[in-house]
Amino acid sequence: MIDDLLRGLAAVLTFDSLLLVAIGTTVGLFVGSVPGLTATMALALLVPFTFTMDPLSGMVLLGAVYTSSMFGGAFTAILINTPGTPGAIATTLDGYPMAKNGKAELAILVATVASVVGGLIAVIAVIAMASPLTDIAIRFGPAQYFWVAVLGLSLIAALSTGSLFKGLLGGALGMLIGTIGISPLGGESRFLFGYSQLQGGVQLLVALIGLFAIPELIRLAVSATKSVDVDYSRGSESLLHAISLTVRRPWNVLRSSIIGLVIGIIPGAGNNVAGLVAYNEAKRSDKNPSSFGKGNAQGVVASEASNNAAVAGSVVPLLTLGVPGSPPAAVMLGALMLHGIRPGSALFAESGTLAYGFILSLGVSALALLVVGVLGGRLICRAVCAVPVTYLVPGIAFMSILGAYSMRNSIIDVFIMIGIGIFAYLVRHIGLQPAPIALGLILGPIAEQGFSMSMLRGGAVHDVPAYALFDNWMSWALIAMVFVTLFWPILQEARRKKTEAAEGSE
Amino acid sequence: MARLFNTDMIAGLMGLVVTYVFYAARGANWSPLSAQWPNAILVFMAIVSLALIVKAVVAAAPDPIFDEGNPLRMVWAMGLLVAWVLLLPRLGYILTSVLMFYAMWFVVGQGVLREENDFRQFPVLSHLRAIAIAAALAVASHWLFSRILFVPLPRGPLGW
Repeated sequence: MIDDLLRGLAAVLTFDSLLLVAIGTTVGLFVGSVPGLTATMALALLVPFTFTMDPLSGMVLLGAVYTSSMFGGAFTAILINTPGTPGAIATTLDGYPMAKNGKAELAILVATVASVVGGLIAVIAVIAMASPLTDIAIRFGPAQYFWVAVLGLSLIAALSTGSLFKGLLGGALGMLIGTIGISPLGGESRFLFGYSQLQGGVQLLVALIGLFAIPELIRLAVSATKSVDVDYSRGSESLLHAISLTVRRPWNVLRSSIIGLVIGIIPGAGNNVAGLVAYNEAKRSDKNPSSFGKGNAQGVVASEASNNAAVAGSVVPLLTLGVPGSPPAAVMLGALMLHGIRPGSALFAESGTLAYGFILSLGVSALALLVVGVLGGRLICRAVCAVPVTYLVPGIAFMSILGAYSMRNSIIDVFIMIGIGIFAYLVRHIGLQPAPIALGLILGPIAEQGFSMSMLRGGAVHDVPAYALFDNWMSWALIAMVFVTLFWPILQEARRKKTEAAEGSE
Repeated sequence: MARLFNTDMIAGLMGLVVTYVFYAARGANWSPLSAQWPNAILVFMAIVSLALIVKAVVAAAPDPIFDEGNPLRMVWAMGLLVAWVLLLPRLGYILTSVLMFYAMWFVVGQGVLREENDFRQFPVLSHLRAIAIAAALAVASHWLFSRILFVPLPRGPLGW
């Protein structure tokens, strides 16, 4: 293993590989920061360019694009409250309030440092523990997927600002939108309302652009004043300050990276779930949870560290089992197979240099983010903040429409995006926030598949089909986490009141 | 002063309306595999909506709504977004983008001036600059998407 690791390191640190990393991170940053352009799309377009390269160089390029595009999603999340990639949803929750407080540049630098640290921690963990982590991942059955989704949905309790009932209503609305289209197991068309074009369902990114970008656009047009600006009186934000903010709470960045890594390994869960779970854990364990959602840098750290750690996580089942953990990983699987390499348990023995070289290149890409993020981040931040609101509003509309259309070359998707956006703007005024709706939309289909498949299995092995949801220790571990997530804020609030009462009586 | 509304009541009623709309759209012959999950969500949604209505009656807490900026510009912004989508397949990507970008620039620009109590009009040069920026963005993105990313964008009567 050590020999392969060193050979892989030597192959990655050549001039050619480093150049590919630089190109890949730049392309990925662009792709990630434009809502509608996805990492999967960029990787699919780049695969033909890797035909003439040796397999490791090709994978280095694709890995750099994947890593960087996850990070690029943070830019729009922070600057225009729109996650460039689904993984950056949780970044909007504190990144955008930071930007509104004049700390846009600091938020981007914190996101950069957290992404780098999260990526590096995950790469080290993958090299050390790829095999045992894979063993856990392959034990995940439908019931565990269901409980992972329920765990994610329990975050609504944490994400609901103002009213838990409204948060739950938003989550249910999201899940309902997620059922539109062909049923994944039954095969029937559901809720088409006479439009056969809805059979393909509502694309996640189309809905996210609608939920986050369009309400912001309408709000900007209504108020005709900019909400995000760089506070130049603060001077240029220092990278050291961002580093100190990130590592001041080492447990937060470490925990978020581990959450990202583990969820990334589970095929299908994806980095969007990772970001939200890590955010919730950061909020739950903080001494001042009420500061989250109002511009707490630790929220940005948690989201970005975990969604970048999930990138390294998603390549573990790809390399060890030949099972991609995410859509971009599926494209990389195709690229490997086109090069005549079959991923699986024998890959590390037969092509150890390639396997370790690829994993190490993700670490190099994470480091490259520091350069690209600091230079490009400042530039993009100041450029966006310098755009007058008169151009910002049509600019957001332009990017949103282009992004929604390019998902499937479909005008229907643009209609859906605008419809969801106008709806999201209107219901925001009655207290329904976009985050719980997005959460329901992401996790509803995962929960449905897990639930329905568990019921099918339960019908075959138990008297009561629902027992299938509880017949494994991993299910119980996840159920315990759900309870902790739901009741921890109540316990914390009770403890806070008790302390306040004790202080008041003294 | 902004008017106050019982938002719990509005949210609860909206939840019930959405529940009913989706309930009425259910297929009569769905297999249990297709029906179980949406049914569960609809029941859950109805319960949460009713809980909101009860809360609205028992502990009414009115909130101000639509209390930011100019509501007329909200209607304009929504109308222009809908017009953008409707015109896209008819006029093509470039023409629609330039027209709608310019229209949105004009509406927001007028809003900025009014918010500053400035009742002058933009000079002609500002209009020309907005059109030029819109055209540059539309042409550059059309080239990027159709030539580099191979995403064909809607064509108008002139072929672009």
